[in-house]
Amino acid sequence: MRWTHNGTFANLRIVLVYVTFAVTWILVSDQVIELIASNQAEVTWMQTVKGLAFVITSALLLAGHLAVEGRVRDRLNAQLQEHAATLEQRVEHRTAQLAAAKERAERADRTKSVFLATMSHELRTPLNSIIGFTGILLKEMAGPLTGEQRKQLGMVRDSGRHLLSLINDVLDISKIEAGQLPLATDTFDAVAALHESALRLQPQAREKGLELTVVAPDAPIPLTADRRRVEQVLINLLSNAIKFTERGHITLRIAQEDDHLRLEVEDTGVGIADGDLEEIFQPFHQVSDGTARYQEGTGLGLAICKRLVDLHHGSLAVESDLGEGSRFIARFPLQRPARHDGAEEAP
Amino acid sequence: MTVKTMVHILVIDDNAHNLYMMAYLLERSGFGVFQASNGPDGVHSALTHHPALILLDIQLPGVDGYEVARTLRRHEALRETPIIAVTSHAMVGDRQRCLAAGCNDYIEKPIDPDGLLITIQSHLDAAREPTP
Repeated sequence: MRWTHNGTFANLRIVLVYVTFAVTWILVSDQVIELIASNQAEVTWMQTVKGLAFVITSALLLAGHLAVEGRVRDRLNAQLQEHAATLEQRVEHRTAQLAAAKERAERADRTKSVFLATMSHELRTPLNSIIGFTGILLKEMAGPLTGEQRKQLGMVRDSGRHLLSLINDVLDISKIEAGQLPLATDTFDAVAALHESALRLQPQAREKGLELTVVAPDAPIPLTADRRRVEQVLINLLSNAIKFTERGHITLRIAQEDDHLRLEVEDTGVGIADGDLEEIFQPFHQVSDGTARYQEGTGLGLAICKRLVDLHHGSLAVESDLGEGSRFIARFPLQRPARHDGAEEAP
Repeated sequence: MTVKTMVHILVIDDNAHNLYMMAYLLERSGFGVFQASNGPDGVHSALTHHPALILLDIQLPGVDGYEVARTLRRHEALRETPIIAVTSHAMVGDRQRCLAAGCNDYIEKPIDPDGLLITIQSHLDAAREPTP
């Protein structure tokens, strides 16, 4: 922009010089000729010379102007090219820096994933022993137990199972975030499978004095999806409902809605404030009352649910009234879309 | 008088506590137990003792459980022996891989004593029936 402006200015100057030169020439030359010429023949001769001189001077001026302009243009072009080259170099440099940073980040991410996978395996191995041996002791295979021993061993087993589920949650979310959670493809009756999953949580609900009701159609709903993961979503939603409900009931509704399976988990629990609804699907988020987290857990359950539903190309929504209860609605397509998400191809 | 011969089960697991736990559980339930703490030893033991059933941990160091299962299946004598893969949560979704490698079934850690015994019994019963 700067150069264009100066160029216009330079052209204007050249035109002014021309005009001044021509006007001066015309005004001055004829008078000079009249003064020094002694007869008409000399006037004619001098005017011819004057005309020629005018043409030659104009030509010289024009040539000079063109040469100067050419030089200026060359210099501008050179400067432009220099700038372009510098810019290109800078872009290349930055691109290289970015590529290196990206490579570093990806390497760190891979290291993190491998670390988490290894760590969780290392953590699980002793834990499996703890839970397994506790099971054997509780079965009294190693000898009879007193009531108190049985009670305490039961607590050891429950704590072990709880710790295991936390480790599994951390592993799941890190695998999902790394795009390394492969989905299996099973075709199964969603009604039977999910009814069975819900029954597994019946004891937990009963322990808190909550009524867990399942509303499901009589006819099967065939679903092609990762059975394990669909059940995991339901179990997470139901566990949450039980965890955050002190009195009342929890209702699971299973239904077919167009070409989707619809799961609805409704509770009469503490509910979620409007401001928190957006965030509950974020990892490590647990709505708190501002003083302390009032439920144990990693805060990963809903984040995992959301991502598992997403991986299945489904949707997960929530409606809630604070103090009244919540309703979570998960929808899974009955058939897996032909085009797969990247997770399946991931190593 | 009927002589009831003891049914033997081979347990392949690299973790000493897990191995002890499985062996204890199985022995208390009336089975004879062979133990191996890595894949090659497991294959050797299977070929030597011809167990009625094999419990195979998938996450073994060096030669993993899938490879062990494939190796076991290459031996004529072990072609029909039930192999139950023992996997952990990390391997969920690899059910097909277990079955593709030649395992008949898989159970997940942590071991539930009752569940394990029921699974073992059902495969022993199925193996006893003549195959068409």
